[in-house]
Parts: sequence; structure tokens; C-alpha cells
Amino acid sequence: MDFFIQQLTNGLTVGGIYALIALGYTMVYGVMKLINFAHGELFTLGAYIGFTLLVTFNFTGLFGTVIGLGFSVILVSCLVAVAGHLLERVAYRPLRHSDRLAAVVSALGASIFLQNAIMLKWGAQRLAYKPNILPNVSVNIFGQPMPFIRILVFLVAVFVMFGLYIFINRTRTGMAIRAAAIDQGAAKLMGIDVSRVIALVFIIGPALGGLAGLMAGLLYGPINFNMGQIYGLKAFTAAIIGGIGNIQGAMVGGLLLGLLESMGAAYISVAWKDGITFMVLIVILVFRPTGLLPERVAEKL
Amino acid sequence: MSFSFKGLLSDRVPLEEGGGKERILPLPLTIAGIAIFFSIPVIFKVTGLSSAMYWLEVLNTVGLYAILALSLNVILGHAGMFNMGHAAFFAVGAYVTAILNLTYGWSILSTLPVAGLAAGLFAAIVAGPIIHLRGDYLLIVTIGIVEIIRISLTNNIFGVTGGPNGLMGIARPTIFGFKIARPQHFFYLIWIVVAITVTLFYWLENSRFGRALKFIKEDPVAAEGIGINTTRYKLMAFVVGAIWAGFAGTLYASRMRTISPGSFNFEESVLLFTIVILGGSGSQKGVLLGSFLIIGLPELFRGFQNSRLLVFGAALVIMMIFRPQGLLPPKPQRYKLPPPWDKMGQNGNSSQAKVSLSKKDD
Amino acid sequence: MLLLSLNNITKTFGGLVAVAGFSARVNRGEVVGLIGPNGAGKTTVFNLITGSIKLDAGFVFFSGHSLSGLRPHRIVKLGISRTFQSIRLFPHMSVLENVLSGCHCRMQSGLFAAIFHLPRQRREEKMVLNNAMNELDFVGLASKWNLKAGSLAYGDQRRLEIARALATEPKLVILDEPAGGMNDKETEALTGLIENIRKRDVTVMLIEHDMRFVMHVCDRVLVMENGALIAEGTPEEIQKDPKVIEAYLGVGEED
Repeated sequence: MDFFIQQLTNGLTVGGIYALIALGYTMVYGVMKLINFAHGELFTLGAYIGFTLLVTFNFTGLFGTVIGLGFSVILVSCLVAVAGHLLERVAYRPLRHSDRLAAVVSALGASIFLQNAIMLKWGAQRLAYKPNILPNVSVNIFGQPMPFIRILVFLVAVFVMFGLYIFINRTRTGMAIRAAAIDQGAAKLMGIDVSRVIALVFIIGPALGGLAGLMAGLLYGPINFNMGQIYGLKAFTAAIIGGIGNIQGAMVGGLLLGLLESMGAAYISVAWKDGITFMVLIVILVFRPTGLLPERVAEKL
Repeated sequence: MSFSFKGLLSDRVPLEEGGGKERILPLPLTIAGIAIFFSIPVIFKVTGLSSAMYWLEVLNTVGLYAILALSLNVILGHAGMFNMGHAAFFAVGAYVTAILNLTYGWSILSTLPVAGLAAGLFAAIVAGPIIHLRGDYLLIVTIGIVEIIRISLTNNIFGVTGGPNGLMGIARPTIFGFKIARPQHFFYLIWIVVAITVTLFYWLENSRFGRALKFIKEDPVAAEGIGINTTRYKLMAFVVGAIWAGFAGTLYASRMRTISPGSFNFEESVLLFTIVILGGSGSQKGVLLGSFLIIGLPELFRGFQNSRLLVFGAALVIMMIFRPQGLLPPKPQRYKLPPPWDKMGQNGNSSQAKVSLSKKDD
Repeated sequence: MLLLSLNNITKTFGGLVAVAGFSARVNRGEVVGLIGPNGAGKTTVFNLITGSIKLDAGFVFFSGHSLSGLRPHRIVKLGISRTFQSIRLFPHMSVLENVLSGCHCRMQSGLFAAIFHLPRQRREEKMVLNNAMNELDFVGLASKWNLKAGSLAYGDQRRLEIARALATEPKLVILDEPAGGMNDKETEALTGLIENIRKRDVTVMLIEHDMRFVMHVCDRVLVMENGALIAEGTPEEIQKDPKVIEAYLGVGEED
């Protein structure tokens, strides 16, 4: 039982990280019908900027735990958002009216570029967040000592997702995003500035992805320049499982994938952990070709 | 070639603007080019170039990727299916050859058909249930397949794949008692296979089968509605591409003599995908050019090991912005009409324009 | 001789009944018009016959075969082909290739013959090019064989769609608004074309809003309203039918 709860919380935590990354994929896909392959690298960028702030500059030491961490979160999100915005400007905007495949290759190119830029800046060897950045406290849950960081990561993920949900569903800007996702042409006719919507999506998504990178660093410690690839692939899988283009779907898909992975690793085999993920993806798509929750965007025949 | 003003003045655009001067190089030049290419090993030997062996190896690598990319071109370029897991079929071919050779002592050449068929069978099994998925879903699922294959190989599935270290000591191919071992031998083996591939796929493209794939790519609903069994043709395209990737796997295994799961990962698939799109999806010339540029060109910049991939990534973005259709996009297929239609003009006026007698071009 | 029979076919789209127990028969050699106000369910009937959408209830029989559950390409092979209300050619391919897409289902050579360029494949290719050019000649587009389909004038595109449909060697050809967007002269030529199609022993079913055209070319007219058949008869009978007049005046459909 203890072992089970351990795996459950483990899965929810990593699932929260997947969900945060998946939100970026799903929002971009919803509005632009583009798989932003470079999104995983924005996640890595978040982890590395976080490393610079928290380890190199020792923010928590300088400003105290709460303010230092808060500062770092805000700075990481903002800087990665800027990177995301630039990415959209340079690599995607010129291709908005081109063939879809050209955009896919451009996204792959941007991903390779960013990954190697990070490698040149911070080096090819892995770095590690120091374990003493956050006080090493544990909380008892169901009689199980639970590291505080795990709870924090999960809570932040849930909080951010809830906030985004409110933003998308309750505000005018959110409505514009939803409208652009359903039909760009019609949205344009209704006076929505689709370019602005796309720009906005490329700010929110990367900000969340960068935040996820920071949290992954805090949670696990070691980071390396190509970590974004596997996280990105997993998160994109999560978005697809949930039904791409669908905000709630990304959250559900992320948490589900996290749980599946930790349970699979615990009860089936660690070596097959990633294999299980992809097999589940295939099985889900064979039986529900558009994911678990329906894709919001109606397909035009 | 007579020039038709009618074509210019009306809003009707002929397929070949200018009416048929589309061959970039005249036939003799093309043949000379191929002849020169095939004598590269001799030229290297005569000139005594110090890094000759290195460059031959590079050309061999380019050739292997060309075979793989040409086979992916059938799936991605002609049928328009986003397959980003082509390395999976390549892996099946390579491992089948390695296992048959190492465990059962088969000669490399005799494993070739089995490797191709195994890859084709594997494709038929995995593609069957997913063939109906829309573009991006298919893309992520094929990535999933290539990852599952890699993980299975790493975990020594069925106890025959050698785990993370892979399989070692694969034999060299022998043709009529001649052992192919040195780079120049492989050069001829690989590039002859490239030539055969280009020929066969050219025929395939210019046939009922190839046309069916193009119709499906352009509008699957209309294709089905006019009598084309879209599911069947998509599946067949997948299987043909996979069989060829399996053949390439055989060549790869016997060339490297050692294979391991790391060689068949997601990045490998991305590379192949990029070659096809960058070169010109659906065009064999484009795919060949893409193989040279993406596999061969970076070798020239070996010295800049660190920033090489950075530049490569940026180059992809820039290329797609300025040439989204690829470097050499496919040209419209030309038809030589049988009599009595052969007197018919090419572009909308039946009398003046001479019938082009040159053979079909891709 | 009975060629096509529709028995109580029904289709609902999320609660909205598009076709409600529609029954009709088409005999070999006829030209049958299907008319009715917008939204009456005419195109849905065509989609149900050709298998592009699935029946909720009822049966379609065509020259001895039940079409229920067959995919569109199977139905084409059995001898029904169609044109689309919104033209659905392969716009980036040549006029000739568009017709070749129709020839596909009557060809034999497969993957093996293609990849090895076998003599029988080459013979078939030559033969089919000739057939395709004959179809183009039949609709008067032979000289434009090498133009891009998407670059043709609107009326030519409609005729190309007909040539493509005829290339499948159908027993029944279904035309969805063939005169849509055509001028008077083109419409007149279309009348002649449909006459010629009939002479080839191909049965024709068509939807059209141009009443003069319908009354001119059709032997028999079916009138639909709200997914059901409300009248059936010769053009003369239909023009006098009070139910038809009411249906049309009710929505002000005048052209």
C-alpha cells in the first residue's frame, strides 16, 4: 500500500509536469494546426535558466527561499516566453500559409537549433540543481512521508492549469483564442486579430513549458541539454491522448500519462516504461482516433 | 519548340510553361554525369587522394540514406502519409539479416529477401490499424512505433537482439564468390542498388499505382469517390516503402558489421523525413539531392563539430521559409499520347504546337 | 428494366432528419431529375446512393446488388459514378490525369506489374490513355488535355467532372447540379451532352435548379421536400402538380 501511494504521488507529480508542457503543444496546435517540435527545447531552456538563477546566482540564498523562488519562477517564465515569441516570429510566422510539411520541418530545424544553442551555452555535460535549494521538509500523507517539493510541484501545476482554464473560458481574450482555434477565417471576419492570438499562444505556452523545466530541475536535480526531447515527446503524447487542441484534454492526458508511467515502471518493468507509454498511445488512437476527449476543432470535410 | 501565345494570353496555364523544355540537362550530359560518378573510386585511386577512403565512406553513407529516403518518399512524398518512424522498418531489416547470419549462418545475400519481407510484414501489421489516422496523429504514432522498436531491441526482445550492445561480427556480402569488404566495393554495391531503386520507383510512380497514390494525396475523399480503394493503396504504399527500408537494413548491417538499437532511433527517422521534404517531397531527384545535402554536406564541416548542428537547424528553418516546396519539387508527369491523339498540342491549341517526342520525365 | 431502387432510405444528422423514408426507382436508359427547394435532402440522397455517407435505415439496390455498407470505391466499381455540387476535381493535376483517375477502377495492372514495368502494364497504359482521350473528346475538352484542371473555366471544370465520371464506365451517372454556374450557351451544350450520354446506354440521375433545363432533358422528375418524396411524374405532370407549386412558391425558389 505504501509503495502504491508512493507511485501514485510520483505519477501525479511527473504527470503535472507533462500536463504543463502538453498545454503548450495543445494550444499551439489548436490555433495553428502545427506541432511545435521546438517546445521541448523551450522546456529545457526553462530548466537551464532556472539553474543559472538558483544555482549559479543562488537566488534563494540571496533573497530567501520564498522570494528567491518566486523571482526565479517569474523570470524563467518571462524569459522563455520571450524565446517562444521570437521562435514564432522567426520560424513559424513566415510559413503560416505554406504547406503543413514545410512548417513541420521548420519546427524540427528550430528544435535542433535550440538544442545545440543550449549545449553551446551551458555545455554538453549534465548539470544538477543542488538539493538544498528548497528546505528538505516532508509532509505526512496517508502515513507516508512526502517530500515537500513533490507536493509543491503538483500544487503549482494544478493551480496554473486551473488559472489557464479560467482564462480561456471566462475572458474575452480566451474567447478569441477559442474562436481562432475553431475557425481562423471566421474569427478574422468577426474582427479577431488572429496574428495577435497566435503571438499570445506562443507566449503562454512557452511560459508554462519553461516553468515545467524549472520544476523538473527542482524535482529531479540533474538536467541535460537534450532532456527536452523525451519530455516533449511524452507531453505531446499526453496532448494527443487527451485530444489535441483541447485544454482539459492536455491536463487529463498529462496526469494519466504520468500515472501510467510510474505504475508501469513499478508493476511491470522499468525498462519498458517508455514502451508502455507509446503502446497505450497507439491503442487509444486505434480505438479513439481523435483522443479521449473530443478534439475541439471540428474537422472540415 | 513552338511557343504558344494562346497559353500566355488566356488564364489557362499549361502544365509545362514554355511547352516542353523542361529537361535541365540533355540526356548525354546526364549519362556522362552518372558515368563520372561511378568512376569516383577509380579517380580517387589514380589521384591518390589521401582522404579517399574517408570520402568513399561518406558517399556510401549518402547512398544508404538515399535508398531509405527514396523508400520513405513513396509513403510520404507520393501517398502523403506523415511517417516519422521509417527507421523502424530499417531496424527490422538490419536485425533480421544479422540474426539470420549470426545464428543460422545464412549468407548476407540470401537474407536480403527475408529482411525485406519481414519489414514489409511488420509494416502491414502495425500500419493496418493506424492507416486511417489523420496526418499529425499518424506522425506521432509512427514516432511511437520507432521508439517501441528501439526499446524492444534494447531490452533484448525474444533474447535474440543482443540488448543495448546489439549484434557484432555480421559477415560481409559475397556476390558470385567475390567478397565485398572494402569501401570501394560497397560504393558499387550501394550505388547500384540506388540506381535500381530509382528505376523501379520511377516506373512505380508513372503507373496506375503511382497515380492512385497521387490522387489520394491530393484529395482522399474524391479519390475514394471515383473508385480508388484508398485504404488498400495507402497500406500498400506503406508496405512497399518498408520492404525497401528492410533491404537497406541488410546493406547497412553487412557494411557496419555491428548494429545496435541506438542506430534506429527517432532522430534517424527525423533525418529521413527532413531529406524528403527538403529535397522535394515526391521527387526522386529532389530526394537524391536532399541526401547529398543533409548527409554529405555536413561532412565538409567536420572541423566545426560543435556548431555544425546549430547551423544545420538554422539552415532547415531558412530553407523552409524561402523554399517550402523543397529544392527540386516534382514536375508534372508527362504523357505520350498514343495515335491518333499524338498530333494534339500540349497546351490547348491542337494545330501549331508540335508533339513533344521526348520520353516521360519525372 | 429496373436499375436502381431506393427503399425507405433514411438519414438523420444529430436529430435533424435530412432524408425521411425516401423511396424511388430508376429504370435503365432514363434521365431522371431530382428537384426540390434548398435543404430538401437531394444531395444527401445522392451521398447515400454513392456510399459517401451511411444509411440509418432502408435499402439501396442497384442492378441486383445491395449497396448497404459498401464503401464508395466498391459502388463505383459496380457501376455508379457521380459529380459533385461543389466541383471536386484534382485541381493541381492535368485534365488528362483527372480522367485517368476515373479509368483506375477498370484497370487491372497492380503493384508488381508497375514496379517491374511489365509489357502488359505498358499495353494497358497505352489503351487507357486512348480511352481517357476519347472521354475528353466526348465532352469537348480533348485539346485541353495537358492543362491544369484547376486552371479551366468553370463550365469546363463541370464537363471535366462528367468526363471523369464517364471514364469509370458507369451504368448510372449521378450529376449534382451539372448546370450550376454555367451560362445559357454552356447549359444548352450540356443538354446535348446529356442526350449523348443517354445514347451510350448510360442512365442519368441529376439534381438541378435550372427548371427549364430539367424540363427539357428529363424523362421523369422526382420532387423532394423536407427529406420526402412529394411528387413524381413527367415534366408536364410535375409542372401542373399543386403540391409542387406550393413547395416552390412557399420558399420562393424561382430559377
